[in-house]
Order: sequence, then C-alpha cells, then structure tokens
Amino acid sequence: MKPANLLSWILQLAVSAVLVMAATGKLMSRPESVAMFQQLDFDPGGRYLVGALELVAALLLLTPQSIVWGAVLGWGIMTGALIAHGSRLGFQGDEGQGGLMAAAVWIGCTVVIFLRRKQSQSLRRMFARSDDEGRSDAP
Amino acid sequence: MPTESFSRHAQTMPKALSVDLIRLARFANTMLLLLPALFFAAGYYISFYFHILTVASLFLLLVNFSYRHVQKDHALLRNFGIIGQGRYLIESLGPEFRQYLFLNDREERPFNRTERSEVYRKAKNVDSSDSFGTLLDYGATEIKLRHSMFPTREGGVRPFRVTFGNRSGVTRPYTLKNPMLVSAMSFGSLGQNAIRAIARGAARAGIPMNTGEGGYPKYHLMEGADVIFQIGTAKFGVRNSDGELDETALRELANHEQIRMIEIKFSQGAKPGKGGLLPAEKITPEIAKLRGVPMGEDVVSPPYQKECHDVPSTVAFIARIQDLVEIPAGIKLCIGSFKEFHDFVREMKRQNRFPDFITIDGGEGGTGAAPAAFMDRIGLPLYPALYGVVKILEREGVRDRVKLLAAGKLINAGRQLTAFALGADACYTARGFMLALGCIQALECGRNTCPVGITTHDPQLQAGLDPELKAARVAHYVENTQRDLKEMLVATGKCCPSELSVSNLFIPSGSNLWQFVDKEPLLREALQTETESVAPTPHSES
Ligand SMILES: Cc1cc2nc3c(=O)[nH]c(=O)nc-3n(C[C@H](O)[C@H](O)[C@H](O)COP(=O)(O)O)c2cc1C
Repeated sequence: MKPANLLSWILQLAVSAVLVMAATGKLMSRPESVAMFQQLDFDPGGRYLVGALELVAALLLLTPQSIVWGAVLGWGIMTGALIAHGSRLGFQGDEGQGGLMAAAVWIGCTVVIFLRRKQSQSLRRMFARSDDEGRSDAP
Repeated sequence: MPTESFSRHAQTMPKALSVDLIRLARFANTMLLLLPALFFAAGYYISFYFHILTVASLFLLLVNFSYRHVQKDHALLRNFGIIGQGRYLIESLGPEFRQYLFLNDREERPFNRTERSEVYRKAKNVDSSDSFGTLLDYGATEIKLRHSMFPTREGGVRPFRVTFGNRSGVTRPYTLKNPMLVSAMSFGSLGQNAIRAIARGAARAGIPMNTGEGGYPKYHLMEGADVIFQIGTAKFGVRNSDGELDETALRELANHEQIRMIEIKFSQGAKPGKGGLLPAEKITPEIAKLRGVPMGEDVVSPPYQKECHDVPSTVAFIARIQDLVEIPAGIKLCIGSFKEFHDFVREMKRQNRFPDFITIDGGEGGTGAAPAAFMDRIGLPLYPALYGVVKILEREGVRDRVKLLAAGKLINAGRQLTAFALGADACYTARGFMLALGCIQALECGRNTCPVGITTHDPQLQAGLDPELKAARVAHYVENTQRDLKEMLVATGKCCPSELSVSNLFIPSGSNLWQFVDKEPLLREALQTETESVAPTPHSES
C-alpha cells in the first residue's frame, strides 16, 4: 500500500472511532451530551440529527467507494462543532475537551479529503462527465 | 454609415428586462462570501439550527474557491465558479431531454422515433398500423416502391431461398430461408445476455447470425443458431502469434456444425479504413481470453488484413480460405472507389476465384465504437454502393458467381425491398436487432454504460435484459418484418424479391442515390435505360 493510502486509512479509522463514540453518546441521550445540546438550544432534534450524521459519516469513511464523502460529511459536522464551541461552549473544562477533540477530527477529515482528492474529482464529475467540457460540442 | 449607427444603437439600447449571466455570476460569487457570515449571525442570535446552513455555505464557499483558484482545466468554472457548474449540469442532461421532449418524431439520428417504434412494435408483436397519412417528406427524398395494378395472386409468392456456395461447389453449401440476417456484432461490443437473446431468437426464426470479430464465438453458439463466423482484420480466434491466419484453428472452427459460413472482413461502413475498436472499459477477463489480448487498454485491430497488399494477393487470400474450409466463404467491405472494386472483380475473373458472397456495408452503418470523423465522413452510402457493385458485376458478366448481402439501416421491409431492387440477395441488419432487444438509442455503446444492458458487460446493467423474453422479441421482429416484406412484394406483382429491379423503384432527385447516379456516368446511363424499360431484369436465380 502506498504510504499516503496507509496514512489515510489510519486517519479514517481514528476519525470513525471518535465519530462512533460521539454518536452513541448523543443517540443514547447520555446526560453530558444532553446538557451540552440544551445549552445550545439544539435539543433533542439537533442532537439526534448530529448523532445520526456522525454514524453515517463513520460508515462512509470505512467504505472504499465513499471515503471522500465521509470525510466531507465529517468535516461539516466538525465545523459545526467548532462553531458551537467557539460561539457558546468554549474550549475550557470538561466540555472544552470535546472542542479540542472536534478540532482534531476536523484536521483529520481535512487531511483525508486532501489525500483522497482524486476521488473527490467525482465532485466535479457528478455534473460534468469525464470526457469533459460537458458531453458533446462545448468549446 | 447605417451599419455603424445600427450597431451603436444596438449597444446602447436599454433592454427592459434581461439576464446578464456574467453579472449574475459575479453577484453570486460575492454573495457566497457573505452567506456564511449571515448564517452565523442567525445561528448566534436566533437559533443554533441556522448553523447547519452556516456549515453548508462554508462548504460551498470552499468548493467555489477551488473552482475559481485551484483547478485550471475548465475556464468556465475558473471564471464563474459554482454558477458555471449549472451549464455542465444542464448540458449533461441535454441528450435525454432532447430525446424525451424536444426532438420531433422524424428528427433523431441515426434512427428517428418513428423508425424505432416500428421495430419495437414488430418485436412486441403488436399492431403496427398508423393513421391519417405518411409523416415522411414524401415528395423530396424518399425512395418509393412502384406497385403494380395486378398484385400477385394468393399463393403466388415463392418461398425465399438463396443458396451460398453452390457455384464454387463447397461440400456444405448453405441455404437461406429468410431474407434477413443478423449482421456482425461481436461478443465484446455486445454483452453476453444480448448475444444469447439474439442467438436464441435467430434460432427460433431460422436465420443465421454473424459473430463479428470477437474471437471464438462462445455465446453465439450457445443457443443453437446457425452462425456466420467473421474473420476480423485482427483475426481474433484464428490468428497465430504473428497476427497471421492460423489455418488449423480456422479449419477446426469451420468444422463446427453450427458454423455455416465464413465472412472475411475488409472494412465496415461505420469506419472503413479503420480496424475494429474495443474500448478498455469494455474488456473483461473473459473477453481478453477469447480474443487473446491484454486487459486495461483499448484493443485496436489493424485497418487491413495482413496478407492482402493488393488486388491479386487479396483474391489469393480469399481463395486460400475457401480451400481451407468446406463451407461458403465471403467478404465484407464498404465501397470507397468503384474503380478499385472493378479491378478487384477483374482480378477475380482472371484467377477464376470468386468469394461465395460479398457483403456491402453502407457508410451509414453502425458500430460499437469508432472515431466520429470516420463515422461521419468516410464510406459510400449503401444504396449507391450496392447499385454500383451490381452494375460492375453485371458488366463483367459475373453477377451469378457471387451472392450479394447488403447492410446499412435495413431495419424495415421498405428499406430491405429497396436493397433487393438494387440487386441484393439478402439483407443484414445489426441495429435492427439491437432495437428489437429494446435499444433506446442512448448512443453509449462504447462506454460500457448501456442503460438497457445490450452493449455492456456490467452485470447490474445486463440484469435488466432477460434473454428469454427478448429472444421472443427478436423472433417476432423477424416474422413481422418478413410479413411486411411479403405483402409489399405482393403489391408489386412479383413472386420473389430477386425479381425486383431498379425499374420497381421511384427515385426522387433528393435521394442520395439519385444525386450519386447523376454524377456517375456509368451508372447514369444504366439507370436511365433501366428505369425507362418496363421489363424487369432478373439478376439472380432464386
Ligand atoms: C454494436 C455493433 C457492433 C458491431 N460489430 C461489428 C463487427 O464486429 N464486425 C463488423 O464487420 N461489423 C460490425 N458492426 C457493423 C454491423 O455489422 C453492420 O454492418 C452495420 O451496423 C450496418 O447495419 P445496421 O445499419 O443494420 O446496423 C457492428 C455494429 C454494431 C451496431
């Protein structure tokens, strides 16, 4: 395996592990995560939504065809988490721990997106086909 | 000056309402910068739910940034960002939209909707009568059949029989009982389900099927149909390591009881002067094995048969194959120059060796994959080519030495009868059978993405094609086209297609046949005398 791929897989595994742990906390309504989401006025709908998305992201990250999409989704969720910590929760104390974790996962996702950027070409190809400049007679 | 003032006027004239796409895109790109801030404020002051939008707009902003400042492939995306993507999105759906909504019934190419639906209806065995009147451009371009005041009487039409190989005295001659044959389509260009469906239908309808240049015809042979084995220019299936003919392999194949004839391919209407092409996307391990080629790269056949440098060596090569096998052997080519073909026929006469049949493929013919330049710009259309070939053979007095097969959009009885009148002995069609299988003319044969599972090896796409059901369609298509053909023949008062001649055609000056004939003195002279004369000139035994 190429070193880049190896690094990517290590990051994917680590990120998915964190995501799954975070998701179980939210979906099983652990008191600390309920408290956190209440502080944001984001409970319970937002909590379940974020928890579910985290699970999906973890799943996508572990499926070879969709790694980059999992990373994009994880990146989005973590951006949200960083916003929450930056604007309301802060990075100190028990809750702050979560914020630092979010920052780590955010970086992990960004690196995975970068390493898998070839796959993310499909982002473009989703619209234009591979024989590009559209399908037929474009300049 | 008036033009100058006009243009200045046009430039300054205020438009009441208009969309300036360039400004719109610039505006959108600026707004995209503001959106995250806007949503962040809403998320902060109103509800945390707004932050979902904050994240989404941040993401868009980044994608836009990468379009505008990172990638360099697409100038449009670089200039306009995400909004430019709209063009690709809409354009990529264009072909579908045009086909579904915007193109007229008579507008599409290569087969318009009316032509296709005629095949579909025949294949599904439903009534195919229309009402009110023809939709064709009746006056200008369409070749019509001249009927007779005295249609053929009940029972007067003779059963169709054409025998190949009786003139050269092969051990196993072959008799066609139906004027329609399945033209060359290889395993590779078609998927296995499609081939098996056609083969099963062909077996049921009692017509032979050409294997195409795909190597050992494993799937063509599976359903018990009669098979015409094609030797492509790369000789897949019968080549040795030097790319030359492997005589033992050919003899072995030719001894297979289902293999009835050999067709040596020189060129194909869709890409004369260019060998077969199988794109890498479509090469599975099995195809690589059957053809003996590597995986992962396009398979490009040479544009010529290696043994044939000039006219004498070509005739000798054909004779060599005829001597090797006990079944009729013929050639397939698309006509480029009549002079060349004339020389070819003279050489056959000189060596006194004739192929058992000659297949004339028209430049309008189909293909799994070919460069657009070749499809569009090379090769004589079938009708003029066929007519010229017949005239040359007649002039040399050897018309009875070879049978003539015609190919090129002969998907319905009308076009087939035109070919018969011009001198064909039987009609090949390839795309007719694809349409019978349910081809929707998505024009994706070379991409392995055929949405109806015909020209793909993707098991998920092939799953949609049920061989048993489609085999019935293939058989119905043959039977119903046959019936049309017979009824039209009755209208002309003839007893079999070979009695038709050019005098049974009405050729308007707008058809390519007319224009061609008008330019080619040899043919013009012949055509004029023939259309004037009333007596038909039968050109072959039936
Ligand atoms: C999918 C496809 C594959 C074909 N493969 C071959 C081939 O292997 N060898 C060949 O000589 N012609 C090949 N042809 C050309 C056809 O045999 C035929 O000559 C041509 O399409 C004209 O007939 P049509 O207009 O009825 O389709 C192919 C055509 C199609 C559509």
